[in-house]
Amino acid sequence: MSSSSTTTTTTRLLMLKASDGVTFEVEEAVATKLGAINNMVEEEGSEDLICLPNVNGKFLGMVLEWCKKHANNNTNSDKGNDEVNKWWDKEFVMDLDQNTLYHLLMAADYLSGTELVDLLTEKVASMIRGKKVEEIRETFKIKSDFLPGQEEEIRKKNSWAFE
Amino acid sequence: MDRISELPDHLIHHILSFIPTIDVVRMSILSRRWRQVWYSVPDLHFCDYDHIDRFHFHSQPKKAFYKFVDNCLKYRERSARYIADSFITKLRIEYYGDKPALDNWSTLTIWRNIKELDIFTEPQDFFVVYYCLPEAVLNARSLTVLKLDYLTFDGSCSISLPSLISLSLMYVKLNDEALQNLLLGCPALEKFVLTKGYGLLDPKISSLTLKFLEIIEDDHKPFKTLEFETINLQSLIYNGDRENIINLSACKAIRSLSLSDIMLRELENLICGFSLLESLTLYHCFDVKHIRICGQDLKTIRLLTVISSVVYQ
Repeated sequence: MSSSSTTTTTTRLLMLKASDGVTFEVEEAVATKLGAINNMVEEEGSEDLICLPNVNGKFLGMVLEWCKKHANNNTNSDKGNDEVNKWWDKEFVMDLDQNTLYHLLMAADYLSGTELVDLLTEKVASMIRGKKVEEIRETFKIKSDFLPGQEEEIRKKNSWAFE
Repeated sequence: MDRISELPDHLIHHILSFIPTIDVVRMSILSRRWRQVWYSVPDLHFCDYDHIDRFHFHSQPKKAFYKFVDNCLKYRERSARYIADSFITKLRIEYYGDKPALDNWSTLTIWRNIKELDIFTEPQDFFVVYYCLPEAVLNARSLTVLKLDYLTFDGSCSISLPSLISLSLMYVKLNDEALQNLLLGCPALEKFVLTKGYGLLDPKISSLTLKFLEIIEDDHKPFKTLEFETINLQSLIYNGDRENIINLSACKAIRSLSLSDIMLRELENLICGFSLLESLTLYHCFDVKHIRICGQDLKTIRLLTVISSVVYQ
């Protein structure tokens, strides 16, 4: 199918297998946006099937979607493209629910997708920023498990941060 | 447990690196999981604006800010002794006012492990008393990135920053000798940005390791002369004053050169001496009589409002 390609760099395809058996065929240039995969490719060389037992198919798919976007735009990087990427990133994280955000962040971290980790942690930070403790608890459904009076005690002990 | 509390510490630290430290400390009352988190966050950010905002009804917001930073750093210093890998590696302090509050903090041992430091202290008064940087900071051996705004330092104190790679000075008051002393104390420096320094007359930028240099002069207090002893410099951005004279003859390794607001009489043939030059930008350059531009590797030339004629070769 791609035999008509005349470019000198033939794009090698890698097979990535998620924890639930779902496989993805991706170009090497896309997959190596992830530090962990880049390492495996460099170390093991010829291995074409890479098993990733810590990520399931749904989230691996999302991570690869992000990689694809960023690998493509890397080839002709200019300021216009940067802007497009930023917009795309914004849309990408915009409506993620907390469960997806959690799994995506864990997957990106496991795969050493540094830039994606930056994007996702910044997204979580934006959900914290400017909020009072009670509001943060509500946003993330954090239950206070302090014993009665304990919270008050911490406030008192660190009064310099709460006054 | 909720999702965010389940995240491993290093990801929580990453998230909190985007949050002002005051809020990070306050998050200690979220739940037991969060109680100790702030003791090991490596990246701290203190800004008194955060406090003015939080302590809207506080009678003395500045005082509250100093007290907060004081306590926070002291607790962190103490806890670093019994919590593994809980060093502060990145510290940003921003405050508006002329009180040298940093003096209380300069004796702390936190400076030993710090990698990135950014101090911004904009004075509010017109008659500025510049805050003098403590010697401990100028001898922080692990420091790799240092950014200072509106500060000064004693030209005679000993400076040793063996790991420093990137240095940025903005609105900093120092004389020629102090600058030279500083550069001597940074044997690994690769990037230096000097923006509107006060007190410099005939500065000499001297460094064997420097690769990137950016200088923006103050229009009101221009240098008389400017000398470069930077044989490994690859990129220079210089935004000068029309009347001073620069000497680039020692910068043989330069690849990217951008000059603006200078007189070019002196540069006429100099550019031909840069055999590795790839990119040249001249912007707002005056008194150009005749300039020869040549170079085998030259890929981009940008000339913007250059007065007078140019001959290409």
